[in-house]
Amino acid sequence: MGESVYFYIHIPYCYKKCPYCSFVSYEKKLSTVSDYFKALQNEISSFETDKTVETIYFGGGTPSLVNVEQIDKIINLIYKKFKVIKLPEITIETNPVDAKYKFLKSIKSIGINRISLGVQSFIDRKLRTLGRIHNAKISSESIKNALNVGFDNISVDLIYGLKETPSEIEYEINSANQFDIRHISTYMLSVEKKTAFYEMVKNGKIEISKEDEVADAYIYIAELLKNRGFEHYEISNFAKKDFESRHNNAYWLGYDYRGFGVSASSFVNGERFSNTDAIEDYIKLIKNKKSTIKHRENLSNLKSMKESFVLLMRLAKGVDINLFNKKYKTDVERVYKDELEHFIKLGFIKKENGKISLNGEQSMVVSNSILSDFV
Amino acid sequence: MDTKHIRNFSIIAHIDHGKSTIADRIIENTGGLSKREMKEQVLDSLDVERKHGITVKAQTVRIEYTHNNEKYYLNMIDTPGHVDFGYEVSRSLSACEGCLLVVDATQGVEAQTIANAYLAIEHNLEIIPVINKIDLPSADIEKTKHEIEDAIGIDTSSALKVSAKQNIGIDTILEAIVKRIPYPKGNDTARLKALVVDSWYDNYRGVVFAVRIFEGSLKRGDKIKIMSNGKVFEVEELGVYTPKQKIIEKLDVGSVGYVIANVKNIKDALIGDTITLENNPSEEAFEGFKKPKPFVYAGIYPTDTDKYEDLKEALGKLQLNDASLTIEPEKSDSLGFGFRCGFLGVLSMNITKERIEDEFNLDVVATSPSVVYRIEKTNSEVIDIYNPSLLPEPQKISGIYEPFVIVEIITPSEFVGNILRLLQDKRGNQKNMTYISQDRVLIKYSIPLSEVITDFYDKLKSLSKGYASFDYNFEGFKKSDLTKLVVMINSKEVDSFSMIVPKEKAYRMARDVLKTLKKYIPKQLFEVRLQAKINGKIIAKEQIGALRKDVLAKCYGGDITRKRKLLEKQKKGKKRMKQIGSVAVSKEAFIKLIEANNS
Ligand SMILES: Nc1nc2c(ncn2[C@@H]2O[C@H](COP(=O)(O)OP(=O)(O)OP(=O)(O)O)[C@@H](O)[C@H]2O)c(=O)[nH]1
Ligand code: SF4
Ligand SMILES: [Mg+2]
Repeated sequence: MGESVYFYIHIPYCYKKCPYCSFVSYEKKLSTVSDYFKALQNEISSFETDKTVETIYFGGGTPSLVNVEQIDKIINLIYKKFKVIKLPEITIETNPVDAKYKFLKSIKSIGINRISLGVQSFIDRKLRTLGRIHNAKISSESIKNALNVGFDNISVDLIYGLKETPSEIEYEINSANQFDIRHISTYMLSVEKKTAFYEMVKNGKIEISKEDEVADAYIYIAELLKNRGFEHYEISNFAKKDFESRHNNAYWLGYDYRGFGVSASSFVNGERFSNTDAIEDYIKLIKNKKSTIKHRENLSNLKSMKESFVLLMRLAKGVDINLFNKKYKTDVERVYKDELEHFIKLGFIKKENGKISLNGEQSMVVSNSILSDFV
Repeated sequence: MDTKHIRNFSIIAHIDHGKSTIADRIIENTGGLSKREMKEQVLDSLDVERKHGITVKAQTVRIEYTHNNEKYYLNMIDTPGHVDFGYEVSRSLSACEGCLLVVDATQGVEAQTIANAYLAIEHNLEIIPVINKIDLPSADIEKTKHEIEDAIGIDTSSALKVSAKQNIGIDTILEAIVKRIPYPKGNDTARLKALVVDSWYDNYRGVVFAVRIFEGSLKRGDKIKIMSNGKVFEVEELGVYTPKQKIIEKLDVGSVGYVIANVKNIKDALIGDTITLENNPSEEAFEGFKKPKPFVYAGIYPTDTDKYEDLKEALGKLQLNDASLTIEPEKSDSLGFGFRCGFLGVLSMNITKERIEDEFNLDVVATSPSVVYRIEKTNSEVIDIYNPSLLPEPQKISGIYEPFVIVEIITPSEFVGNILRLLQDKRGNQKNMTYISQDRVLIKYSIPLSEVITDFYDKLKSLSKGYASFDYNFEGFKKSDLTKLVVMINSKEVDSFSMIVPKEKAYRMARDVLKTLKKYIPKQLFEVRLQAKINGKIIAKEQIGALRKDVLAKCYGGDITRKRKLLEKQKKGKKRMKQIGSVAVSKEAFIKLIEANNS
């Protein structure tokens, strides 16, 4: 673990900004793409490490919208500059509209071995409300195409919180599960301020699920997926055996990761830092050989221990007491004596086989309320 | 300076009629502070005073004023206007020969105008009526004059018309002070007799007294004797505020100033004490002041139970400068160790709480205020209880008495109907009703104090569109039909939510209290049941469903910092709650238990 590093590359472009999206992505700045990629290459080149690269993750935005050659150049650069493990996990987030045979073929040929499809839903009503540019048919076809091209590690994103009935939820899960996919990420629709959605919800133009409905949906989704052979390995993520996302796990397990590109976050040698949010600034700073880092954070030992505890608790397997105590030279059960007592008594946390973890979906769905006592 | 060139006066008025602003102008016009040093209500130096724009503590300033080429020292005391601080006004007046009675020309005479004017009459002071805010278009000088004459009975033919804001007529005030207020009597060579009109604790200098010299004079180095206990101290420093602190060598007869004499314990010389000289003592002391009696009581507890000692220290320090604050340690099942404190009123309670939080950086929970109840037990023992949860078992009680006050309300006549209904609802008895002008009425009622300290003021204001004002004075204890209302959270009694309520209103109050609680208890990870009972019988219920979900937002690109910050924010929110058993309750719940429900 000390020897590994995980790379994230942010591609901040989209065809059209989705009305609910609060990520750093831009729909009208495509003219900056080539400058942006130059800058990205610069940032990558100037990073020094002798650690071995375990994963490369192209996230967005919509990485599938840029030229495959651009992606290829990045991958080549990484191989040239760093030690890369023999079988790295290389993921690209792909918009279903891009998941055509030719595109998929070429990304496969440049070494990408995992594809994360932004399907979101198999129901047209939901896709329309979300303002997505694809429909249910494209959702299914994108998976089919990826399978046909030969991807065996496909992840699908699904979103919920739009007044789904139980049979609609079942329909979503079955639609995904009819294909041989290995990973599903589920997202609770959250209506963030400063998004177009926020206004629409406020004005009653869009109806979203109530608290109880969302909670029920979450629990139902988990039940359905578990019945279909998926493991609920992290609060929002499900995987078939051996297909957990190595890249995402690095975040929870506290491994070093380095994010390149606008707004990307990194965790290297115990320090957290992140880049500026503005594309133009990012490009300009790199051109002028200035640092792109906007926030930096060095946590005290206690704080980073607490942070690590909270992150590990997101995983179904939770915190291994012995390992944790050794790593942080602490006695975690003493540090959190009152908190653990309280939540174990209420049935929200369990301690089993030397591990502390959230006690099932009922508890994961209110994880913030629980884990906020541990930070 | 001989006494003919000294004047001592207070500025009194209803709250917000402009006392402190007039004081500002007087200081500014006589050069006490330069324009650069001035700020609004410059004498309101406490943080709470500046924050709320009200005066809490009386402040004395010596003004130098030249009239007809003669120099005068005018000792000016700016007083608070709020009903809770009547005691502060009364003390200030005993240091004076005259006062400015300020009346806002847009509001007319209000309840504290009358109350404070009567205090001045009691003290035999020369009263100079000052009609303020004449710059405002709605000012009605003639009407205001009539009201002063009718409601207080003082002549207004020579009332002064001023605007403190626009600095109009301030010179006429200064002139009137010299011409109309008598100079202090007293003999410079007589035996020293000085009245302690105020005292406070200064962290560096020990106790500082504000004194008024009635006979004799006081110099640095004099050995003074405190007449109540015979203790002797040596005067280290004498001075006045101009309002800058100015050290002087001697306090002459008739003047007002401060004394520092290496007194470490404020109890050694209480407000109202008489100071004389050790080697040539005066024969008799002043009568002193009646110790102000707290009207309302509330529990104050540290939110973090480990901070008990810190709270004790903070309260102790505040008590040094607030003679009316009483403190008794107490223990609550729900809140742990804390103090039952007595206050002059709800405003002074809130101010004390704020000062603890701001000046001592302590987070505290205050319980809903209550009055003292006098309990006659079946074994004919009589006890006073300051905490409703301590009410004895009903079968041991033969009678409960509660304090009544006489309220005086001044209101435009159009609201009289509303206000009488409110007073009836508050279990009041009418005493008197008179017109103080064609369209303004003075209403007098006898009403239980407990009804006044809850939402009375808010309701009065809303029923009268803000126009009614009120004042109250203790009347006596009267027997009432009362019972204890107990609140339970998840079947556990919460002692700090107990209250004593009139039987006739118990049902309504029980429902209101639970509704209020529901508002201040956020959803928890489990269901919360609220119940209210009297005499063992449940009379109201509410339920707060369990929290079902948090936002499980996408953890995007490994932005852990953002994730952690969200959790930290949530944690901070929880810290502001008080844990009762396993239920987190917002701290407001305790104090707002009896909120202004629009019932
Ligand atoms: N227009 C106008 N406003 C005034 C005048 N005098 C005072 N005010 C305003 O009235 C408000 C109250 O003034 P203060 O001087 O604080 O009143 P106060 O009587 O000292 O109030 P308390 O100490 O709280 O009893 C402030 O907003 C002043 O600016 C005046 O002559 N004209
Ligand atoms: S495609 Fe994804 S990143 Fe782009 S706007 Fe839509 S939700 Fe946001
Ligand atoms: Mg004032």
